[in-house]
Amino acid sequence: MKDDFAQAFKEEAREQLADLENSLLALEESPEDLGLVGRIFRTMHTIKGSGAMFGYDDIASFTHNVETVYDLVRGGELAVTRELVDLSLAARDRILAMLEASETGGAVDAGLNEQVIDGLKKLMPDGCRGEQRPAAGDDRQAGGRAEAGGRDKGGSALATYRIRFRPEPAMLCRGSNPLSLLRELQELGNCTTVAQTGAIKTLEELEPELCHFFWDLILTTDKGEDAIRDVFIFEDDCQLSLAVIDDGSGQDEGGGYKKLGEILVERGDLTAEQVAELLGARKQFGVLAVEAGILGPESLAPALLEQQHVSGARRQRQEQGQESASSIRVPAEKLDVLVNLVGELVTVQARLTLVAQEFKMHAELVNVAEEVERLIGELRDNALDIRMLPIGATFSKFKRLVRDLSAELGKEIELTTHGAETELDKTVIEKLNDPLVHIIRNCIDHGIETPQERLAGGKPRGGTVHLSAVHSGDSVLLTIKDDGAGLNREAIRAKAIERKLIAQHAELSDKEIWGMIFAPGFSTAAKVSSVSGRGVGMDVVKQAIDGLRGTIEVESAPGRGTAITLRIPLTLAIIESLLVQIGADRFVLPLSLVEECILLSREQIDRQHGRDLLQVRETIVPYLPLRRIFKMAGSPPELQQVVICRIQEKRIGFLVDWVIGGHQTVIKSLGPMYQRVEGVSGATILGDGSVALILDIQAILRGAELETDHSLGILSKDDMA
Amino acid sequence: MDQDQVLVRINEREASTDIALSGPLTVDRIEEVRVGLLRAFALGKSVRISLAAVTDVDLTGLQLLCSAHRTSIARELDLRVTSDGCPALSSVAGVAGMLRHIGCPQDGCGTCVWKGDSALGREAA
Amino acid sequence: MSETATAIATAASGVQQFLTFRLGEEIFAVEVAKVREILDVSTITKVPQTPDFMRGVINLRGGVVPVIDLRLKLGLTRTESTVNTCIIVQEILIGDETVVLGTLADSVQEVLDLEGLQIEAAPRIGTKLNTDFLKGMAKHNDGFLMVLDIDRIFAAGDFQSEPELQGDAA
Repeated sequence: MKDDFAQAFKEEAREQLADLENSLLALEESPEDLGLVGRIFRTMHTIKGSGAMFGYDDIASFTHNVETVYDLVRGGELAVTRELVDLSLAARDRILAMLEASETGGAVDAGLNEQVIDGLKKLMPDGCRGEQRPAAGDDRQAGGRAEAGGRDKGGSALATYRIRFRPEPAMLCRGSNPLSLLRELQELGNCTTVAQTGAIKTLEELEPELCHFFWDLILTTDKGEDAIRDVFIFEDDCQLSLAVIDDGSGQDEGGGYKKLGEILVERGDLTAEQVAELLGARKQFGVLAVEAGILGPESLAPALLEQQHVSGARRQRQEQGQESASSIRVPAEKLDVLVNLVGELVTVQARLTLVAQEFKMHAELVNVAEEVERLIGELRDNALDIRMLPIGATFSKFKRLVRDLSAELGKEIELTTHGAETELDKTVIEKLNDPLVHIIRNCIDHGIETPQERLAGGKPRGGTVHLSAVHSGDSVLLTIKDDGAGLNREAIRAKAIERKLIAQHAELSDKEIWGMIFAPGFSTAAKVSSVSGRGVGMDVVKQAIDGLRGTIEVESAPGRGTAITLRIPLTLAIIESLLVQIGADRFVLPLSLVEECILLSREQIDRQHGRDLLQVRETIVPYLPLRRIFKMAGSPPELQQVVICRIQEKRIGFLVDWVIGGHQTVIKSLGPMYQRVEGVSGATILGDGSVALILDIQAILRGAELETDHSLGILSKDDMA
Repeated sequence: MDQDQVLVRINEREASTDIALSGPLTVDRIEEVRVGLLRAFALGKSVRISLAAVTDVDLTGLQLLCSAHRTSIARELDLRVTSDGCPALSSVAGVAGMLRHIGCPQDGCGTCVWKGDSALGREAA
Repeated sequence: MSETATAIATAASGVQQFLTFRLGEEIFAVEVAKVREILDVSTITKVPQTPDFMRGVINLRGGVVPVIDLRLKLGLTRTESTVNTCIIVQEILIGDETVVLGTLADSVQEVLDLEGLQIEAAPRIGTKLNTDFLKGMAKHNDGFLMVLDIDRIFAAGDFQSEPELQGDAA
């Protein structure tokens, strides 16, 4: 159980930290926004509270320092400066590092932690620095700030205690201070304190140096009874009584608490009989009791406060409960299992449809099969939808990246985003992170100029990187656009010739030139910087996007900037595709790339005298005979079909024996053994139980183009090694 | 003026006796203040205590104010305590749990100095 | 038999269980602990542009499992399908990853116990086989068993390399 809680804490803490980063970045832009300051404070407070609860004492004590600073900011004692935001972001990173270290069992660089804390302490005004300033402590009276204590998550561990603390009268003279004990108690959680003053005499009789007070406290805390007793550890002479009045489990009472009479009986102020007697009358119970003279007002006040306090604590817990009921947290693996099962169901359903077609005369069977097909279609859409996440969380991570990197390089760059709400499959989003980081780093490092260069070029000092996401059919278009110098056509061309990627005098379109930047080891950066330019990066991007079945397009204008557009399929699990057959084998082509299918007779082929070209209405379309490329035995049928696809603005055909039709393809990995096979990106299981391969037609096209170059003698085989 | 010096300045007026306290209202000097307050009550008029210049308060200070209130009830003299938002007082009174909505048991006439939203110590908040 | 039970058996007596199968004229053995199941040969889908010994993939209860022609990998001729041909589905280690794959066998023989001491190093000469992938040989009945080191066959990650490269020992 404890591990479950700890896991929940870690997950929550990660979310809190992500949220914190966003708030901090927003705060930097609008330093006057007290709402943000409050939000940051509360986030720190929550991390501290739940950290301490689950035994992450290092995180709790570290975060306490940051929280203290934001308490000052909130109180207007400290201004929001760039330095403060820098340190806060660094602090946030340290908390993350501590969290990660706790997972991996690694060690945290304590020096770095101290650096951050020292930096923060320097920001604080004198007098607040050394001592443990009770963050959010002073004003927690009588429900003064309910949210501070109540934000501590983990409701089930919260318990409410009734504490009576009667100090030894002479303790003041011994230098002990009951006030500091009270303060410590109040820091444990949400605390209501009532001073009992009945023993204080008039000025004539008063012994002013002795303590005549005693206190009733109601404390809601997740720290446990021992923590309370620890407060009094050196105060042997004091009387302390402690009782749990609400262990955090009582939810069934509609957020209310015991009736006043019950409280008074429990506290020993009244007997049950007295209560019963009074209840006969129809008046406010407390007033009645005092009027009846059986209850002193000194007893009524704390009892009333207790009632208020516990009701408040319960209400809060209930609200939290309702909040969590509207959405539930599910481990990602469980969703993966669900999607896999749905995938299998889709496969089985295809078989059912096949069987139903064989028994067409059986109308009932056909009906049921159709119904099942419809339901499974809906189930599939819903299951996939559960895994959809807005890409915004990834976007905000890049804000930080841009901020830090541009500062490091002395550039002024702003990241603007659009379409943060656009949803993509969770696994796709995860796999997009690294390529996007590479692209944005490139924008910052190579794309956008220094402020001086920009001014000289008649541009504003600050550059912009614009990140946008938009739905387009069954894909999402992600565009990363900068207003920097643009790609250098000649430099890329020269580099490509040097690397023997293209022939000396090859005529290349802009698109083809831009495509070169994704070749392995290709970098035109004159010098290696810490940010990018190590010659790795863009080919990694290409690989990652290929892995996602996505495509990349580059547009660039000298002096105006570069735009890289990634087209990414919404999900990796199931795709719409076209099923084709060659010989006995069946293959699957992604439908999103298919434009049309055209019949091709042997006669038509013969007319082209060995050239793989096809006339489609007014245009000539080249095609790739897959049977020949795959070196498959046997001969093609008389009438074949060409599937015409659009790949990066080019229309290209793929010659197959025949086209079977549309197919819901549940994508299965071929595993590590087939990782390096070009032209096949996965497999799927067909209705009859056989395996069909999913073709990576872009890779097939690339391979064929290379082949053509070889045969034309542009490149020798050695160059390709 | 010596910072640590508690000054009990008693000013007898026509309708009331005004007492202005300044410096720390803490255990070291509390007896001195008690004697001063007793002297003020002895004049038999309404007592007005101003805490505006108090720099520090501890439990004995709070206790003494309660005691003064009790004395005023016993002698049937009016007592008014003002703090002008003295920050030292409001924070200590908060921690000690003085701020309340119902007066103490001795507060038969509802004159508790800590009571209500506009009470002593709450003004600063 | 579960892996734990096998491990206990090994620790107690040094005895391990092996599944024997036939490739051509030779009898081979693999640890039972690595064997998941034995299947009849169904349709194997060839993946284009892969070496001959990678026969393709099959559907194993909704999962896609690669099938290897061990005869080709060991330098023998291609496995031809007969009524006795079957696929031994095994778990092997590639790098740090456990991969499920099937190997073709002309026929499956039996499960037998072998003591560690019974397995001797394979002679480099006197066999037509590529001995790199053998743990050793053991006497059994009148002949020899070739004990395969199935992990090593796929350790090099050379799935794309041509089978003739391994033909040196022949």
